[in-house]
Amino acid sequence: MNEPANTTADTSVSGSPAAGKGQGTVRRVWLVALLFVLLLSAALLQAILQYQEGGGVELAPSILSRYSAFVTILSVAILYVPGTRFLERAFDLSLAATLRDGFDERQDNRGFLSVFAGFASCAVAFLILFIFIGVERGWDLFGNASARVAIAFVSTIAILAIGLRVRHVRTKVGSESRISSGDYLALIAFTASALAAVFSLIAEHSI
Amino acid sequence: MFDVTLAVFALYVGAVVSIDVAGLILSQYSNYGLPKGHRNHLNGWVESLHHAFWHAGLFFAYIVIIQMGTVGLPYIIVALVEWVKLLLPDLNINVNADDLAEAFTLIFGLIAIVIVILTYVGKIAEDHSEKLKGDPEEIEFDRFDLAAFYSVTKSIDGTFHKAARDSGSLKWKRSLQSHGLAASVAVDMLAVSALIKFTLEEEYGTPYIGGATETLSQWLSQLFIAVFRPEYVQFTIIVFLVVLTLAFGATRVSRFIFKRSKDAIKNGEISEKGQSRLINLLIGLRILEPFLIMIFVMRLFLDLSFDIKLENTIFSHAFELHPIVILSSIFMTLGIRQLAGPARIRKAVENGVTRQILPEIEHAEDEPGE
Repeated sequence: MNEPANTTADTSVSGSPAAGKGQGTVRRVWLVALLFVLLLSAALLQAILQYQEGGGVELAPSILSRYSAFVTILSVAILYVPGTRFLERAFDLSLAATLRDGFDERQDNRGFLSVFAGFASCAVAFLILFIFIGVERGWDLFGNASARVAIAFVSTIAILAIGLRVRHVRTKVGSESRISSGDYLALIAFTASALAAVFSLIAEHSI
Repeated sequence: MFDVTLAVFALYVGAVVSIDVAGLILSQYSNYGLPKGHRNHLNGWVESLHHAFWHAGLFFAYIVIIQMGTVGLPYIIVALVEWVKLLLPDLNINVNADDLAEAFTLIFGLIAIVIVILTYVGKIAEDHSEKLKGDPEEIEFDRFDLAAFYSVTKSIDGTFHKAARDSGSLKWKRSLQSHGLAASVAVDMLAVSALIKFTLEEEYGTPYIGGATETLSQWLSQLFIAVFRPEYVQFTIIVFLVVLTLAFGATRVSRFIFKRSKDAIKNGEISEKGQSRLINLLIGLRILEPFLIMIFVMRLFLDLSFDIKLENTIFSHAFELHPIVILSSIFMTLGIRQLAGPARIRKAVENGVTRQILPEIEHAEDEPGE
């Protein structure tokens, strides 16, 4: 585990491609953190409004689950889906650095088209099932259990996102690379999201 | 009580998880073609026993762990919520353990589906023969659970074969390698047991700890009954027997391949044409296993997400041949193959086939037999 290549991450200078890549990741993670601050603010506002209306502080499962769903899916997209690189650019990252940090590098040189075809094929598999159910049920996909299923989906995504982040951090520990504050932030953000989703699930059952 | 439909389902699953075992044994044909009693060669049935032990053992271990999570966790959450309500009496929240158990089944079921997919993306491109390299005493695993199980197995094996372990004999090392290989192909048992747990649950219902659970001992005894369900024990035994039988059958086929090509080869290599045919067969086996698993992954997805039960029998999960399910399974398998990388799959199989004779055998020629 002492390969010389592992040390390059720490020695990269500002302005180099590696530095550009690191800045992009940090920016995306900050973006996710910002989203979570918005989520918490909105939830707090909701609680204050309820309190002013005299209803006491009550959990609002539908609101919480919607927020957590929105934030989780957006966060996963920002952190993991390469197609959302435009968000980096919106945060003033140079276009050249974005292009240099190619998809090939992230996917073990398997090539964009190959990996894209893989994801597309899996998506088609699920799409076939959705269309089948849609036709059978008149597009009322989840019936009475829509809220429960939606929250379960969100919880699943959040828990898996935590798993991916933990693996990423473990890889960094293994290769003795520096663990950035962004890694910790992402972990905290996803854990908060998973907790929010599970909390919503509990509250959903209390109705 | 013996359940015939469950037994048939277990036979199907046992056969499916034996596909990779058969592939591994076929790719190592020259080892199984060695003369009986060769000093650096374990008997075919011993290696088959290792495979059966790892597959059935991991299946049972994982299913118990998952059961404890899905059955026990809701009750722990209920206890925590009650405690929070003591601290914050104004908090308007009521939790029902049975509802939570149902919700957790849905979440864990969906996670299990994702784990199955990710496991096969990694597994079908894995070069198992990597485990033959290096010191068998220090075989490394990517997953900590496998490393832990391997460590436990090593110490149990060492206790029974103390003399061999202390002398560090080739037979001991070969035994460790065999366990390492068996663990490497049983990597999918986490995914499979999660899948079986939720599939069986759709059939037999989610286990709840009902009735009076006023004391901790009552709760624990009911948890024990809920976790160690007789269906899982029956399932484990059948998987063990099926893997043992099919793995042993594969060692005989391996031996046949070796003997048939013996005249045409030197140093354990068969002709180029034969090798190419074998490689294509092994690639086919690597794709076939995820496809057969995906059939009931997609069925489980339908059950969990949409509460769709086309037929309420256990056969519907294993043998549901609805065209939509088959079609989506085909796309799913293609996706897995593409994500794993066709070139990487071929490379892994080629490495397995070309890396035939175990490294120690070369040294063994110079050493006295055991």
